[in-house]
Amino acid sequence: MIRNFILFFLFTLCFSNYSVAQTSSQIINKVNTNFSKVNDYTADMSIHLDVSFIKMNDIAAKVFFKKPKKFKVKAEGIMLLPKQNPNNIQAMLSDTNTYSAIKTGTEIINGVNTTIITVIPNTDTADLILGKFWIDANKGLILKSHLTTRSNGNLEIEHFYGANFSYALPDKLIFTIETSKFKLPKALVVDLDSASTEDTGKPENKKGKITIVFSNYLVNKGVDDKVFK
Amino acid sequence: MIYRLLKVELYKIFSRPRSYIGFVAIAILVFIFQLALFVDGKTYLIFLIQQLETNFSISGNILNGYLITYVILQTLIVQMPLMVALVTGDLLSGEASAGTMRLLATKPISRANIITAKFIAGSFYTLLLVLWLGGLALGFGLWIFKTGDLMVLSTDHISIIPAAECLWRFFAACVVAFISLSVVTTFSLMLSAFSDNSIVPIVSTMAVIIIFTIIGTLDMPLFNNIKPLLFTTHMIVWQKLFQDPLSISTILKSIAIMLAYIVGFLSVTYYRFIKKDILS
Repeated sequence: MIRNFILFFLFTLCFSNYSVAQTSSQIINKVNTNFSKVNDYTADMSIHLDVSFIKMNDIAAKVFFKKPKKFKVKAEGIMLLPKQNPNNIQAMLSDTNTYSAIKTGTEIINGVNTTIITVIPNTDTADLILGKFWIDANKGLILKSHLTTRSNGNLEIEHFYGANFSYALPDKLIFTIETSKFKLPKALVVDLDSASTEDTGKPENKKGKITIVFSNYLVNKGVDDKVFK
Repeated sequence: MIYRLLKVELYKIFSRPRSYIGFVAIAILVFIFQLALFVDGKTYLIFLIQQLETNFSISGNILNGYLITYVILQTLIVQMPLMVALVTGDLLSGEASAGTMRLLATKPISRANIITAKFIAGSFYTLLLVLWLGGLALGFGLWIFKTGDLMVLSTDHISIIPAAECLWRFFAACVVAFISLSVVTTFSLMLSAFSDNSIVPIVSTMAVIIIFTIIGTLDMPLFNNIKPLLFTTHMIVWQKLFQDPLSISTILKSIAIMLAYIVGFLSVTYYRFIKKDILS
């Protein structure tokens, strides 16, 4: 009796593990299938920074992408972008041999039922330590990502889709990043005008938001390689 | 009459070799800055923005002519009062020490007109110095480093000014810098009216500016109530023209305070010179 119970328990455990792995793989494959339809694209970008220590107008830029990993953003002037670009996430997810994916729950994001997939890289040298993706399993779209990286700490991305959802190309991305307090010595910047701010001596962590709005997508219309040089 | 007097005063200023020290010094300093930033600017910039690069990928021509001009103005405008005082501190006391004041006062010219002519001539010299600095820094900066958005680094924040807005801001900064230096012009002219020796007003002007600047930069609560009263606090208001959003009310307030100082110093100069017994 006990032997049968143990066998049944092991069988259930193995079966359940297998089905979870399958489910997460299927969901990620669906995301990858959507993006794999994109050979190249160009789009206009408007970048809005809401970071306490940066004062700048919205940046107008143009983004270019070509399979497999060619990515370029061009702007007229100075441009600040989050270190993690969204195509990196897609590129990372498409290489399914480099990580393990586990289904870790479900959650409703903006009224859509999502499956939470946690991704752990197989190598400990990767910049990504842990990735958590809220995926609309029906459409194969990432609605939210939470990345823990070695170089940039925690990063959260909210993905909003429009007409190009079938390609998994977002209309809007909202990055929430961790920013430490910006401080430069007065003598270094010859800043005679700044009023002193109280220094607590501790590194102050704040959150900053970067909103990127995409428009005028041209998908699979061809992009010249010269653009990426 | 005032026009002829002004011509004479300008001739006096520009016939003295010391009047050119400022122009030569500015040209040398601008050249040294441009050369240093051309050679090591990128290393300097990487050091300054390394904190920013932990969170962001930064692209674009950051080390451009506008940034170079801003850095030069920020560094050199602090030194400009010395160059101005060197000439304007001598306007009245120089006449007294040379013994030409009595001769001038015997002419059928009102003493008020003498002061007015000297003030206008001193202001013209100051304006030329500011334009020389701004023109050299911006001209060579844009020629060597090209154009681009201006990244203004402060101790606790960064402002990025679009390239299209930079020229008018630099022009406005030169106007505000001229008003700031006019405070020094009138202050040294006032001290000059009290002295028969050129060195005293020049050195006294510099001493007062150094003391006020040091008080202004000290982060001590004791001095916080005094700082708004010091003209040196308002002389650096040109930097606010490179902030977004523009603090128009603060800029106008500082300009009004500086104009009040100019009127105050000039009034004392007129009063002192008109009442003065000219003995030499």
